[in-house]
Amino acid sequence: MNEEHPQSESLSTQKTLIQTLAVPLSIVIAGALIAGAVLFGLRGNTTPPTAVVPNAPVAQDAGGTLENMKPIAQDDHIRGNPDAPIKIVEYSDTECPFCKRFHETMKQVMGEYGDTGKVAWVYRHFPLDQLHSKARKEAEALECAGAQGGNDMFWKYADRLYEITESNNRLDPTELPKIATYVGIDVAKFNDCLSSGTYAEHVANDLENAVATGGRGTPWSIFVAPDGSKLPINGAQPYEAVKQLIEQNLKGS
Amino acid sequence: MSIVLRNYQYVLLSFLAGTSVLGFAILLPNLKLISLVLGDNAVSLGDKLALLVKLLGSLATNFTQLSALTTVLISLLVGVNVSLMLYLYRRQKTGLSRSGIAVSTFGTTMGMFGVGCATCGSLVLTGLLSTVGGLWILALLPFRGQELGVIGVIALGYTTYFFVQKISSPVTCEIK
Repeated sequence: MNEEHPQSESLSTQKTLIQTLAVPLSIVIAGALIAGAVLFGLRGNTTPPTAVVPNAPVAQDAGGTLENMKPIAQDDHIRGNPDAPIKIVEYSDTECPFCKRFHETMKQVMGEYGDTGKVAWVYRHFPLDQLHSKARKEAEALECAGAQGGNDMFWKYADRLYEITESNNRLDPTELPKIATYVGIDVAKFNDCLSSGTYAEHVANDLENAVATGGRGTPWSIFVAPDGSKLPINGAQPYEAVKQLIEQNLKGS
Repeated sequence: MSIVLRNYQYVLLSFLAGTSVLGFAILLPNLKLISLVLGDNAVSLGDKLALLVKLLGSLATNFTQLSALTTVLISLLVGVNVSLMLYLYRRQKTGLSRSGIAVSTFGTTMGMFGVGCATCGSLVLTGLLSTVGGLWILALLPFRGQELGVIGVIALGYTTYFFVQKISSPVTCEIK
């Protein structure tokens, strides 16, 4: 009995110590974790939006910067006036549900600002293989459509694909040639293009550039203002927020 | 709980704490954009505020139903918890147990880890994991980290119940 007493006293001391430390420790840990996440997120433009890149290298996370964005060129798919004062470069994954949502938002943006030549929409590929294994091939399908029918066909095919996919890797691959038929391109040529992997490298380059600019998920967009400055837009932001950015930048131009 | 919520000061405190957490959670994905716009002298104050308000709309566009629900619930529960904790502290300093605060803090932290991101994970958790190259972990979770939001709701629900019980029981000296 005498031996048990100091043991229970020691247990009681331990318990008190744990109780005493529980609060400050949990607050400190919580604060440190959240502050760390915010800090690192701000540093690399990388606060993740909707769909994350599970295998993104750490080095690129820290070094991703908007200035790494590949300049907009002729091989880009541009909707609207290529010389528009404002350009929104979107890196997108066809199987991401938030990209589907943002695709509609961007169509709405183009409906209001595209016809007047104030905004151009540039589409680049950002398939997230570990989450949506079908997205990379679908990205190539978009390119194959564009190769046959030009820029307009690229967008027509993209619009249709985003319209019918249920997202999250649920689009049956047999739908791809059906979309080709729907938009009116030669299906045999389309299938040849798709199976040859002609545009695999193009898609891979887009993805690499998305990560290099700090993209960690989709949709990842870069808003290019009239003065050339760039702003990151993470995720499927509402139309009103995109409109606000456009309006405030048009004021200064 | 009605004892606390009848006092408008506590209601106001709950509201402020809850909306702060909710606003932070919603704006978290675009902190970089916000910092750039807020730091731009060429943008008027009105435009800066308008952007902040409009970005709040992403609760409807950039969250899954589950993550939107857990984010709102966590914010609500954090607000209520803060008021209950303050009430207990004022009533009797020892009445506010350390374990209660610890669980409440744990719940809030889990909630912050679980908030946000849609198909593929939570915002804070993903931000942290990306710094250590551990994003693949999220791919293994069936709800991409949103599970933590649910855990946060449960933890905060428990502490709310715990604090309410404390408030309901009379302040007496117990027989040991």
